[in-house]
Amino acid sequence: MRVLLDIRALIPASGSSYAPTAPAWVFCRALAKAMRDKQHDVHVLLDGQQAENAAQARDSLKDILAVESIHIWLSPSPDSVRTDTARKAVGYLHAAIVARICPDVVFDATSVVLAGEAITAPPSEIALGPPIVRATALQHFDGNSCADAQAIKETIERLERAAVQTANQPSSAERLRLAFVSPLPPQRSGIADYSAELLPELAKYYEIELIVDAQRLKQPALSTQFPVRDAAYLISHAGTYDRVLYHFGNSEFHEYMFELLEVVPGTVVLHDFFLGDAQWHLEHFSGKRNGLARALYASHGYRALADRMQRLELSAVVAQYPCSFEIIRRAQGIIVHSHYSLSLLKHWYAESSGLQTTLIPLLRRAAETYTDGSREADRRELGLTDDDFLVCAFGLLGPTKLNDRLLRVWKNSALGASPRCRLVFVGENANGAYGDAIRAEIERLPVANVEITGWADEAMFRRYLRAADLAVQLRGRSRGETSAAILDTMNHGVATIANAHGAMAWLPKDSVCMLEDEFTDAQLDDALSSIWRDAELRKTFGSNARSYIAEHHSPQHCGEQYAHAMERFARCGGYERNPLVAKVAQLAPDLDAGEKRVISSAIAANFPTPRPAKQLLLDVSSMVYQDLHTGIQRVVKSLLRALIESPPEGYRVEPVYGGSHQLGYRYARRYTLKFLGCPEDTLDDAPISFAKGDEFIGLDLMHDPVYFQTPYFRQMHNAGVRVQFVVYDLLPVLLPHRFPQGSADLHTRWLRTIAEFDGAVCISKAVANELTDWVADNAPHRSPKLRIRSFPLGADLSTVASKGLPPSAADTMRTIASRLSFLMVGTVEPRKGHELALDAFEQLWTAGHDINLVIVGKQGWMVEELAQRLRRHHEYARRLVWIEKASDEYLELVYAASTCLITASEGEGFGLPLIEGAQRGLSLISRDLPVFREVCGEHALYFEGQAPALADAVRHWINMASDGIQIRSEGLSYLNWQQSAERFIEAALWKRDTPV
Amino acid sequence: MQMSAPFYRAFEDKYRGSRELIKSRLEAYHPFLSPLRELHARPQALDIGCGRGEWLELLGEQGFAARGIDLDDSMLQACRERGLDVALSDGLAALRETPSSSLALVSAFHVVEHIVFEDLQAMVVEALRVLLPGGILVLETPNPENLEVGTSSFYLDPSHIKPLPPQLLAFVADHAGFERKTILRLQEADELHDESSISLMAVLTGVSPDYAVVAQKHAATDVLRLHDAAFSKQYGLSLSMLAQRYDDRYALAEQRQAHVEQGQARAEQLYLQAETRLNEAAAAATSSEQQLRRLVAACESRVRQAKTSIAVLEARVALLEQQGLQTQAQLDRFDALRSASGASFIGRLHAIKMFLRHPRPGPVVRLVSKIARKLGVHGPLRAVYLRLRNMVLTRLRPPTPSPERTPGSSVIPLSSELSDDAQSVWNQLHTLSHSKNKQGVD
Repeated sequence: MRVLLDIRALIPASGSSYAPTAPAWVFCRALAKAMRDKQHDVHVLLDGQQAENAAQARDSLKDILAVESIHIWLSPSPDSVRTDTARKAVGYLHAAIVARICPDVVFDATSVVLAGEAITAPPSEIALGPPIVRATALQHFDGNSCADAQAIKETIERLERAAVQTANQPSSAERLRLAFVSPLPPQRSGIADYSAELLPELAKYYEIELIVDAQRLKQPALSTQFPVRDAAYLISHAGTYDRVLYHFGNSEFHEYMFELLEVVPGTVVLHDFFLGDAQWHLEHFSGKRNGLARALYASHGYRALADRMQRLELSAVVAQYPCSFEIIRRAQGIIVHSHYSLSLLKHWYAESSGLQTTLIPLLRRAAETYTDGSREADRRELGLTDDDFLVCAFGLLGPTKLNDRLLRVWKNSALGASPRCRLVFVGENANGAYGDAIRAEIERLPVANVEITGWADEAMFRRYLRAADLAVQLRGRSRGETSAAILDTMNHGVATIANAHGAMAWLPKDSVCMLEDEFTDAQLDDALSSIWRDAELRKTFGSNARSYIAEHHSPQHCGEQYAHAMERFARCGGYERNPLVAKVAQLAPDLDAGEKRVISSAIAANFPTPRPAKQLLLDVSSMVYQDLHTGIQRVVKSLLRALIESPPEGYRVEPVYGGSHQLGYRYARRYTLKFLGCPEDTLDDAPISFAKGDEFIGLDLMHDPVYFQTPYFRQMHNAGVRVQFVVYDLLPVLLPHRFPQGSADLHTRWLRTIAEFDGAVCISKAVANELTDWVADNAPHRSPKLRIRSFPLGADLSTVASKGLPPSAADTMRTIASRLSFLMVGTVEPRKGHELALDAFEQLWTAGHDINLVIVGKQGWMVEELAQRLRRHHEYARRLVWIEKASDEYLELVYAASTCLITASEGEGFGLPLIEGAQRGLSLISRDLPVFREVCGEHALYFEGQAPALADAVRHWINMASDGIQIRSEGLSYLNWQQSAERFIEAALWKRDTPV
Repeated sequence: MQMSAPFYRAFEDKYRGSRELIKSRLEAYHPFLSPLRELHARPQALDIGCGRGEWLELLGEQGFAARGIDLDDSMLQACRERGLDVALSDGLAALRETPSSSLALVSAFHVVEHIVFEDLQAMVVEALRVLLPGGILVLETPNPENLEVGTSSFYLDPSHIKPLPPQLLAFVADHAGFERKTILRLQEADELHDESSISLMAVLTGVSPDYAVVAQKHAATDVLRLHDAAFSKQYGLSLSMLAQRYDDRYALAEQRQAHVEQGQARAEQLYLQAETRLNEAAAAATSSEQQLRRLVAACESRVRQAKTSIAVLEARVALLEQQGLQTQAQLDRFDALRSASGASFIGRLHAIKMFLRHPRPGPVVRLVSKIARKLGVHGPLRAVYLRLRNMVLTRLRPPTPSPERTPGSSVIPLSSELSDDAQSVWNQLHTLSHSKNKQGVD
């Protein structure tokens, strides 16, 4: 027996203590434990409104129940739900959530409170599906006395008595109303013909009304049998229909259905998996702004969007990306016609493979059997005698139909040489180069037995079908379109040669002469010759094909399967959100705007729609608000670029941002578009939606927003999102005297916040070790659970981003170039060791060395004295150069003019300047810190200590250089950003098991 | 010395060896026998101590008329059974009975070690008498040079008296008056003829175990000449020969060792030379490397200088470009300003006009305010008016949510925007709520 304990009201509002409800909480726990011991399937429903309390409650229940049995749902806050209507809507939401868990009995714990205490939420008046047992008031409960044990036993007995099996839903006796949305004849679409054949069969099961595109179609076929409506009618009368059936294909005939599906859900028949052309039509001709771009983004993410905007031509983009996810997501259920489409679904939208799908073959009314006499008549009309052998290839010509290969094989084979054999392409020739080539080839043939008919109407099509001896239907490079022509040939009992491409691969081998997908010319030649010579074989193929079609593709069979599928989709979708929305919609007119929004958000948060892939949410808030070009922001940008270029398998990369004034994160769509160089107004920044399995990674360093958004992170965490942060360094905590007042506290608070979540990704092993130590000292309860990993940063040879030289650049450059120059790059801060370097160089200058000290970096904090000293130095502008503001271009020039890079920091997270120096051929002198050892290895000269040590090191370097034996930095190995991003993903998605 | 004949026979059976073996050993004397056949048609021979008669058989095969004598009758019986001409007699007696110069060959195999020295001398003298000119006397006896024979195996036969050194027997023949003599050493191992094989064992036991003194009676030169070849050869292996061979080998070995040591010393010297040369080479290489590095350093510094100069030049060029662009931008701005100045001037006039046209408060308000001022309540009245106006404005404006700074507030955002998902729910709600419903739809 499955029991649900509804404990939502026991979690108090934040600010009040647990004490008033503590005994009740203990009671519930004891009850859960007792029932579990009696082998009942116990589930608990917690209210996730106060995320922290919900998380604590869940943790405390983890030792009693399995994690999957503890459900947290997000209810709107009580302040936003004021009217009774809104409360009723929330009650519906709660009922739907309870129904989703499918319990046999519900235990409502709201009344388990001490007498006299107020409870925060009133009990719901909405009748739930399963029976409810309300708890009686308890005076006192501490779990130890036998009176308490007795109370528990009584409760369990009441529950068991109340549980009944859920009754089966009675099947309705009357016929349901079906809205049939599809193009119809005389529209020139294969789907129109298909629908025309399907309708009479489906009419046996439903009352059907046709919804057509009133602008394009004036008088559809079958309008006498069924009422004809348009899209606006469907929207206004959506409630009157029980079922809706959409037929989607990749042409302009389906344009009106895209908007319809957004508001009126229904079953979707997906004739074409690739819908890019239709989306483009919508954008271009119907004025749907950025339709194709939005479709690409929704289905495939930023990579597809970047391709569209910058790299690929339109036809290539449409051919490569299906863009069909928005349709699939909104469908109640999906009907496809081939296993190939199912496999495409699994390949492109792996995360949503739990959708309801069903495979129904294309229907074909069985072709009438005809007497031989009529066949002869047809053949005579086409100018054939009995000995002639007619080979046909049906369908529009084009590169995917491989007509050129058939022509080539025909030319070189015995059939091509014989005047008795004829090859006819029944269909219109392709436009463009392909069609011209085919025509030229045909004219060059030695024996003129090949022709193209051009557009064939129905009658001519059927005549050729009846007259043909052999049909050749080849396909290559298709995108999954189901081939209808082959079913026609099989239906008419014509022996057919096909290759195992796409959907055709699933046809049985005894009904069709099947070649391999990549067949050779010799194989095709063999097949042609063998069927030409062997009449028995032809007859066998033909009859097998006909019986296969009759069995699997008959209209009755297909119609029955349609009805079953639609009923199944409707039934199983009972606990999903469409019925809930329908119920709430009845109340909707009475809700005011704000409440309606809140209810919509709550419904969306608790019943998320499927999505194409899991999300990799990357927090880039600092750059969205203010792009400062700091080192950290450069790292974030490079990672972002690398990840968007090649996202990890099964994930969509979604940059998000959040502020410190309002809880909640949004998609940073406009920023990302600008980042990728696309027009910014293609997409809007909507609030994010998340679901279990997503990953959130805080990429940049923002103290205040992270602290402020902690409840939101907890909410995400409760919903099953893995929350991690990138740690760049612990310097404010480890070197507090080098940072302004209060930095250490801020950073400590930030570290404490992030330690509460799932993991931290550090930019070097040294930082990872420091973080592990810090957590062990300051948050030891998190030590075993917080996963700390590291990944190395990348250092591509950067492109020069900012340009511009100050007027003094010429003189400065001359100064730098005139002597051996030692360079220090980085903001002038206390911990970077500029003071130390200045002392060391003063010693060296006194000793008579004629060398430069070049400092590039703006003045930072807490360095006023040092700045004065630098500016007033007697060597200033002679052997001491300080460039306070340098564009990237200027910096490159300074690198080129310098010989050696000095890094005297007392602490660093990674040490990117070292790599940058090595890339530009400078020798490295650096302090002996673990992180620098990690980055440089043996390719640097290390010193330890204060100014004298640095002076010694510089002297040593000069001596070695004059002998040519200085330590060279050429061999320094580093990763480019692509590799670094890969390592980042490995660390962040916990793919490597080795620690750190 | 007399011993029992059966004993001797048994003894000989055991130790003497087979007939064929004996005969093969006697082949060694062929060089001496064949010239005798040339001299005489049917040479007469006497074999003293013929034993089983192998020698007699051999002589008979060679065409000699051979007669044998022995003191052992059973042996003689065996000879007689073979049809050999034998008689029981003492050697010396038989010789004395023989007429002088009648025999071509007198032989005594392994006899002389059985008789006393005086008898031996007498035998040899008698043998000289009975031999024809150029006749041959053969006396074979164990060779005491062979250390094993001389110290041990000679004494296996109890009837042997004492070993006779070859020189002694040869001297006896010489003294007796034979023209020439030679010593044949016999029955050595074949493999010892190979000069290179020698071992201590061979020296001790490989010397020819038997020897024979072959002496010839004086004759004419051309008769003697027939035996020249036979007499000039060296036969068998003497102790000194083997010892010498051994010594030679040892000396050779020592020589070789000396050579090797010399070679070794030379090799060590060469090795030391090579080592020193290698060290020199390494030192030279190191110094070259250092020179090279210094040159590289010099090159590098030149390159660095070049690079820095280029950087300086690039900086100047970039500066110039920048200045050029700025100048261009300035010029463009001047142009734009010039063309726009006209328009902006007009715009400014317009603004002034608007300012002048700003509507003053209407006549009613002016009257009211004049009255209020007269009454002295203008100030409070104006304040009341402002408060009312504010209240009205706030009622019309939607309330904005106050910004929350501390965490812990409600989590469903009160933002004015919805997520995409929520937006679609909202759309659905909106549509469905405005559509007409079938009765009883739930």
